[in-house]
Amino acid sequence: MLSSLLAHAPLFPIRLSLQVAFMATGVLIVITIPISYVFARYEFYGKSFLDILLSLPLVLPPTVLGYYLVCLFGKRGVIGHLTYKLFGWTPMFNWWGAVIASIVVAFPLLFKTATSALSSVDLELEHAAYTLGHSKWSTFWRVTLPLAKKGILAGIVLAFARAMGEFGATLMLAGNIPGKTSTMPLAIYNEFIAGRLSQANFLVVIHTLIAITVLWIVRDKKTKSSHSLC
Amino acid sequence: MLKLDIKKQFNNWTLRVKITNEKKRLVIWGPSGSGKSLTLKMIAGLMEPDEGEISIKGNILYSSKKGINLSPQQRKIGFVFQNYALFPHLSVFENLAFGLKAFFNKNGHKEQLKDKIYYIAKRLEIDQLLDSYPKQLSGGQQQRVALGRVLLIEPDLVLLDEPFNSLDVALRYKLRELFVSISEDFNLPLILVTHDPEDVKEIGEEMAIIQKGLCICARPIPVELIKSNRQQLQDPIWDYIKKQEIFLDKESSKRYISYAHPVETEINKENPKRCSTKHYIKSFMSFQLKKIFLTKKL
Repeated sequence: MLSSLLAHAPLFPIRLSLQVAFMATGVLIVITIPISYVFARYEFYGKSFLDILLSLPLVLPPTVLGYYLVCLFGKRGVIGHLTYKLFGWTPMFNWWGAVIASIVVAFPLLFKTATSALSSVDLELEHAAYTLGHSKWSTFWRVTLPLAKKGILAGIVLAFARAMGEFGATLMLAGNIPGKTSTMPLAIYNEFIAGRLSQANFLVVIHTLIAITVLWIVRDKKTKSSHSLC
Repeated sequence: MLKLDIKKQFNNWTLRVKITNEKKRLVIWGPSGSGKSLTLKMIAGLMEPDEGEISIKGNILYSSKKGINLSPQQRKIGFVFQNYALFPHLSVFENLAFGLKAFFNKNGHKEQLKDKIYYIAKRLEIDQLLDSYPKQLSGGQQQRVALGRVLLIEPDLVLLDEPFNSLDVALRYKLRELFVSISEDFNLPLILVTHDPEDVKEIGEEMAIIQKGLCICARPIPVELIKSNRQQLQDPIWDYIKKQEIFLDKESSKRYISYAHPVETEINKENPKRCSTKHYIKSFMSFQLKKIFLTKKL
């Protein structure tokens, strides 16, 4: 019974969505945390403007973002033109397009939470570490990051969930090609439109379960770390 | 010991401090917001002055003329922060070990370092708390952990920013004694910043007064202040410190400063009386005396 259900189950969208969300979250962690640290600790010219620019994906409709991304990464776009010339490749209509769309859409969620978590770490603790001989790098790893961990982790989970659920920008940049770029949300839409409700139901339940699991993991970690501190 | 001559411009005021001290324990006294803590931050290298020079035992830490500005990591100056700045995610033992770089190296002589940590912890009576976390400690215990953490890096100088501010009176007495005995035992120079006159009396060997961003005098604390009790004390500086609500108005402050700098900020070992603030401090307390002072000066 179960095996026959799985045989007909649209497993590809699940795998693709997870692959896209993990890749996007990984890239986001690497690029966002240093940016958040700079925003939390330094004042510089044009900071407010840059903050607005980086937070735009929060309020812009995903299709508008997708349009911008096509302008950037399409064959005639600034970046797409370059990559096409050099490698004969653009991220349009393949899974990298979905990754880029997810990165851009989920970026402000991690950026905002990580910035507020990092700026809530008392500057005096960093100063204490400096006077005890630790470099900025060592202080970041041993003091700032462990103390901002909870907030950053929450941001990572939010970003992951957002990346999993990305629809509009992905549709614009990667397209909706079943078996190639149809992520879970797109597949749900396809199955629903085609009237294959059992398939749609299956994907909806899977999506909900993944969301609950992710939130559960974070909740568990939070209680553990607060125990160890008390 | 410490030679300090710094200037820094903030939005609408200037910090100008010039102190040369010889003895082990200097207390910088001044009302809140006078620039004491900022001065400490500049000594520690956590904030850069606009111009001037800072040196300890002849080693230049900062000099705008020579283009020297050592980082806080290079200065070997211990800093005990006002709120102790203990790392909340680390145990007392880990907090103490934090400044021992070798402890984080794989090849460090860990056993030797552990002995060192246990020795200091025992000396400061925190050896029973090594597995606790800062949140579980009382204010006095946190204070001692902060001091222990600093002692372990074997600093050339320890800076203490309002160390007894949030402690009750009985504990203050105990900790003041501890700080003095530690300073004597380890031959450790201290600079303590405070607005509490008792700290000046109990800990200081020399003192400096900072008011509205200006160091208005620096000199040794007379022996009578340390040895005798308050009632017998004739020195007006004590009265002055007690009446900390007295501020100089802008005009008299200007004249006073021009008179006080630079001679009065240099501590004169041979003839401490020469730098006594007696005459001109009194002059600010009574208008009559102020007039006489100004006529004399002119």
